[in-house]
Parts: sequence; structure tokens; C-alpha cells
Amino acid sequence: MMVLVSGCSDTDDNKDNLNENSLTKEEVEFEAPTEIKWDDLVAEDYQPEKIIAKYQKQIDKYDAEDYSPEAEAFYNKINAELNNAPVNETIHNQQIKLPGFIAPLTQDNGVITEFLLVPYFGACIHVPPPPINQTVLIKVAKNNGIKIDDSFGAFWISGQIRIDNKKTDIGEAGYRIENAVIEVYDE
Amino acid sequence: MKLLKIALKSACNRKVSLSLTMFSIAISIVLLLGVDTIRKQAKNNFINTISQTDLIVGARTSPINLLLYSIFHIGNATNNVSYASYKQIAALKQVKWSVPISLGDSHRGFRVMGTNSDYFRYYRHSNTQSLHFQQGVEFSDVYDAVVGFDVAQSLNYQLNTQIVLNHGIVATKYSEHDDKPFRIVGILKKTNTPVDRTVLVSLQGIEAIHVDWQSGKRSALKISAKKARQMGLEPKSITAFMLGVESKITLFSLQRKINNHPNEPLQAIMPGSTLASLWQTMGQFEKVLMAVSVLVLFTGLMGLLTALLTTLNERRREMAVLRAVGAHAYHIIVLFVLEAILVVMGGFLFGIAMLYAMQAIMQPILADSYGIFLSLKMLDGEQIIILLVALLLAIILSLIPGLIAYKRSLQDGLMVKI
Amino acid sequence: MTAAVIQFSNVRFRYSEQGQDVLDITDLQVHQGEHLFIQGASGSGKTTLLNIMTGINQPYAGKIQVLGKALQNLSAIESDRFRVDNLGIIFQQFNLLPYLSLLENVQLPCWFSAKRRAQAGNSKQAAAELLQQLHIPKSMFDKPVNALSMGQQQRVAVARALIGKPEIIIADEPTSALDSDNRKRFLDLLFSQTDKQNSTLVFVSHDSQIAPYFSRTIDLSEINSAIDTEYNA
Repeated sequence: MMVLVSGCSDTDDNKDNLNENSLTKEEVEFEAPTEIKWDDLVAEDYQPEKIIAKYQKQIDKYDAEDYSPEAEAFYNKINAELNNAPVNETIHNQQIKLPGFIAPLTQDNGVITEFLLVPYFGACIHVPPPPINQTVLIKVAKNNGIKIDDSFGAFWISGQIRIDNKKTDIGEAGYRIENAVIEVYDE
Repeated sequence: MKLLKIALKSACNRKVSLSLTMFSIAISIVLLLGVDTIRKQAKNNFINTISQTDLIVGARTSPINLLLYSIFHIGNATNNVSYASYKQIAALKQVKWSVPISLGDSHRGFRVMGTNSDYFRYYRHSNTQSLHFQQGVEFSDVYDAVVGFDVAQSLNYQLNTQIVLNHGIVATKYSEHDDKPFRIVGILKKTNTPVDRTVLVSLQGIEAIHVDWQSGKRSALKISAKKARQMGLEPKSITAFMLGVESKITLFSLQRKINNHPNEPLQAIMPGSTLASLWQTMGQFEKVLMAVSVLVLFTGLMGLLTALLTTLNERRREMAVLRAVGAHAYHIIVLFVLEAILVVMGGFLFGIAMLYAMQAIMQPILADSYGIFLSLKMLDGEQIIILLVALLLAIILSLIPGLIAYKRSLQDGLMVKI
Repeated sequence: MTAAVIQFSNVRFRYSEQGQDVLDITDLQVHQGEHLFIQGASGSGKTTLLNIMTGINQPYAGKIQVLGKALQNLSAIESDRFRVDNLGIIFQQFNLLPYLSLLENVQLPCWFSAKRRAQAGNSKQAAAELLQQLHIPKSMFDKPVNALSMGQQQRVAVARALIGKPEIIIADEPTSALDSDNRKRFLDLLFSQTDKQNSTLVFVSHDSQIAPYFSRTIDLSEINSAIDTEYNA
């Protein structure tokens, strides 16, 4: 290909051909985003089985059909601990690409500029909400917003993922991406 | 262009049937553009009505219903929220700010909303706009009221005007709270949201007027306005409340927590998500409406085609004469196309005029019943494309009679046997 | 011998390749300034002759010269232009467009022909003059076409054929719808106005009774070899 190009061009262009192999500063700094999965957002040492094992004896005590207030409080306690899953610190500041669904937070004239990215559709309505480490707060890059009408369905979100240092009182800090780029997810 | 003059005069000669065709095209334009305009403006209104609010909470009902009645004042709540639950939730660490609202009363067709001064602090619309006063200040006394721009304008209210609130949405004489009149202390600037058509009072004000009401009507035990003021008037229940959170990433779990509130069934919604699902629903409906409108346009164009086809025979002589005086054979096609263009453009002009007239008439009705604020705007790019496509279709259709006439005139030559 | 303004040489025409010849004329000449009467009963090829003479249809063989121009070589567009520039045509009836005024009807050829527009000068004025010379009074100018009698309509048609001084006037049975009184008057006017402009008149009709008024008569069935002369007694 390079031979053809240099063969077809004028002698003046030959000088530029030398530079084609060296990259501009932006090109050097640019990394193609790594595709990650939602599992990658979970800390590696997270082991839900251990939490369940901790409470196993008490779980066995309750009937499957037990809806008493104590049973409920107990299950809520276990769920809270399970949801208290820590974040995966190793992916902080990486350029990643993650597919998911959009729960809109802020819009400007019908264009969504800030949203929560969740792994499954309907996360905002009646299904149990995903834990903090399965949610990403996304701010869209300028002019990259998506219209409300078009926000249904799955999307690829690309950008640099950060972990908020600000702790929330229900667990560890969460993920966020600023200047995200949205693409439609085509299988 | 002489051909245009000939086409015009020829069309005028058959103006009765062509006018009817023009009229039916006009009607279809009104439908097509009208539907498009209303749906765009309605969406726009909805989008701009509320911003920067993370959750809205009310008694358990469908999310869309909650959004509609609490923010757009369309429809009604099915139940109330106890003030105790509200205070519990507002006190949670995740909650940054909260604004309670109380609906149910009206004033001369406008909704009355009870709230507190936090409403003026935290309510945002049109992305970043907060509420501004044209005149006056927020309410402070129990019987103070702040009115939206449209309320003041249509009822000719000024500061210090006294008003009487009505129990329920429909005004009747016997349901007035006439023993406890309110005084207007503030008039808001125009927002182009339902706030313009709202009367705002304090929660205490709402309690005061209901303090001697039982089960929807006045009890025998009357309590005067003065006495009511001294009664403390802590509300027992509200209709809904808005929340802002400290950290958005916690929204889902906070929402879940509220939805599972132990003492009463509550529904917390994220306005953005609920609006998006409202759009989904409306989207289906919109598609149907557009399909119907397109069919109506199609009917109009068929009428045009029919009008042109049925005149083909009587125009054969006309074509022969024109050929004899130098018209080319293709001029005949041009004449039919020109006529189609004339009729369609006439239909457009007529239709657009009707559209604006109807919008002007519908403006107050739509605002009153549906909270949709129509602003009379020029046609946007999409709508102009609709018109151009319709024109193009008409031109293509007119080629049918045009080509038939062309072929016939070639066969006829100069001698048409009638 | 005056020049031939129209000359047919071995002209043959048929409507389709599989069909029979409808016209087969070895020689036909029209001389400048003459009043030529072509007698043709229906079926004698009269319609075809006129279509060929005016350039509407092309023969598949032979040559047609009109005012020195070879008609069979012209394209459709050139043919149309040539027609309006040089020929004035009068039909049997329904000559006029009902949605144009009388003056506009007369001016039609000037709308389509720059040559005739130039030769007419002020076309509106020329139209008015012609109408009056054809005994259509000024008071009638505003009337709609349908308000005129047959005779009047035909005379308006003559005016339209004459405006802009085309070289040749071609008339197809213009008197068939007129009663005998009006017929004579019409012919007189037609002849005098044609002569005034130095134009040539080709008049086609089945009515042999008016043949004597013309300087020359041709029987179409005699010169058209394609016709089976047994049909024409």
C-alpha cells in the first residue's frame, strides 16, 4: 500500500511520506478505549458467597415464605451488605468502553446531558436497583448528548472512568465518567 | 412565462372543481402540520417544566400519573402522603433539599398549590431558570398568596387583591372557602410552564382553610380566619414532595428505600426517566396520528388527480389549438404540472392560514385543560420538508394525466374528432 | 411560374410499420399567393395530409419542402417552431380557448413565435385591427368566446391565423359549420385578408360546391395513390 501511495504521488509528497510513520502528539496520547464488562466494575476480592456463608445458619432458620417484620429486616440487612460491594480501584482513570442502558438525570431542550448508566433495562422503575458498583454517573461530552426520544435501547459509553473519592453514607464511592461519548449498541 | 398565464386562466375556467380539491388539500395540511406542531410544543413544554429535581415522591400510583399531577397539574393524586413520612425522608442524610407540595384546591379555574418558601428557592424550569417575581414577594403570612403570570393577567390581579379559594378543582358556590380570603403579595414573571397558571400559598394556608371542613364539606363548627391563624396549623398530610440529593450515584438506592417505606405506600420517581417513558408511550400514539394525517393528504392528492383526469377529454381541443399555435408536445405535460402546482400551493396557503387561525383559537383551551402552551411560531424545517414532499408527490401525480394528454395530442395531431 | 411554397416529392406515410400506406403522393406543389382548394372526402387522407404539411407527422419516405425548408429533417421542437413561425391554421370548429379573451386568443401565435411577434409589431393593436377588419366590432372584444356566433368565432380564428403575417394559411373545413350566407362572406374576408398580407392559402374541404371560388382545385383522391379510387366515385 505504501509503495502504491509513494508511486502515485509527486516528488514533493515523498518528503511527507517519511513523516507518515511518526505520530502526532495527540495520536501518541490517544488510547483506544478498552471494552470492559459490568463484572469488571466489581472489586476482585468481592466474594458474595462469603457474606451468605456468614449468615447461612440464620437464613436456614427462616422459612422461605416467612414475611414477618423480623425476617424482612434480616433480609434487608443481608441485601445491604451484599450491595455494599466495593469498587474496583484498578480501573480508575482508564479509558474504557462499556455497554448499558440510560436512566436520564438532566436534559437540555430534550437532549440528555447527564445520566446514570445501568446494566439492565428498567433499572429505574420497579426491579431491584443495581448496587453502587454497578452504576456509573455519566456526563456527556459537549454536543454528544442524546435525545430523550432516542434514549431507549442499549448504548456503548466510552470515556475515562474515575472513582469518586467522596464517600456516600451507604458504602464506597461510585464511578463516574466525564466527557463521555455515546454510540448505539449494535449486536 | 406565457405557459403559466395559460395554465392560470385555464384553471380559473374550471375553478369550481379545482377549489374543492384545493380545499381538501388545505384540510390535510392543517391536520399534518397541526398534529406535528402540537406534539412538538407539548413535548417542549413538558421538557422545560421541571429541571434539577432528582426525585419526586407521592402516594403510590403509576409513575407517569405522579409526574403529570404533581408537576404538570394534569389529573389528580389518588391519595396523600403523611407529613410524618415526608419529614422522615427529608431528614435522610442522602437528601440535600426537599420541597413539599399540596394540591386539591382551585381558584377560578386555576390550580392552588400549597408549599413553603423552599419552593421558590429550589424549583427550576427551562434547564436552569428559577422563579422570578414581577412584583411583590414570597408569602409569609398564613393568608398570603403568590400568583403565576397568567393568573394575574387573565383575572386582572394586582398586589393586595383579595381572592377566595375553592375546594376541589371545579368551582361551585357552596365549596368556596369564602370565610378565609387570601391576599396577593407576589406576582411571578412568565415561565411558560404550568406555574403561570397556579396560585401558590403556604402549607399553613391550606390547613387553615380546611380546618373546619370534614369529608369535603364545611362542618357546623365554624372557625374564623383569625382563630385559624393562631392554631399552629402544622399540616398532617401533603400531596407530594420534590427532592434533591447529595450524590446522584445513590439515587437508585434512595428511590428503593422510599418505595419500601414501612408506614405507607409511597412512589418515588426520577423525573427524567419517567418523562422518557412518557415519550415512549406518546411515541406510539404520535405514529398513529401521523399515519392518519398522511392518509388524509393522500386523499387530497387523489382528489387532485381525479380532477385533472376527468378534465382530460374536454381539454383535447384546447391541446390541439395550443399545438397549432406553436406549443411543443412537452408543453402539454408542463401545463398539467403547473396546474397541479397551482392547486397544491393554493391549498398550502389556505391550509397554513387555517392552521394559524385554529392555533390562535385553541391556545387558551389547550393551556387550560392540558397545560400545553402553544406559541404561534413559523414553520420549522421538518414541516417545510413535509410541504415540499407533498408538492413533489402532487407533481409526480400530475404527470399521469400530463403524459396521457401528451400521447393523445401526438395521436390527434391537429384534428381532434369530437 | 411563381415559386412553390410547398412541394411534396414521393411522399409516403403510414401510421405503423405493419400498416398500409395512408398517403402516397408523387408530386404536389403549392404556389406562392395562390388560393388552393384541396378537395378530399373523409377517408381520402385529408387529415394525414394536413398533419404532414404542418409538420405534425413525418413521412417515412420522400421529401417535403415548405418555404425551402426540408420538413422531414426537422426535429419535433424545430417542427413546432417552424409551424408557428410560418403557418396560420384554422380548424373546422372550436378554434378558440374559452378562458382567454378574444384579443388574447388572436395573439396566441405571437406568444409562441418571436418571428410573428416581431412582424406584428404591437400584437395587441395588430389583433384589434385584424378583428375589426374581419367585422368583429370593438364592442364585442370583452365578450367571452361562448357569447359569439359560429361565424364570429370562425372569423376570430382567421384573425389568429393571420396575425404576424405568416407565409401560409392552412384551413381545414372552416366553413362546414356555417350556413351558406355566412359561408360566402367568410370566404370573401378570408381571401381579401390573405391577399393583403401576400400569404398563400391552402383550403381543404369535402364540399365541392365552394371549389369555384378558388384559383386552383386538386382532388386528393386523384393524387393520393394510397387511396383505392373505387371508393370515390
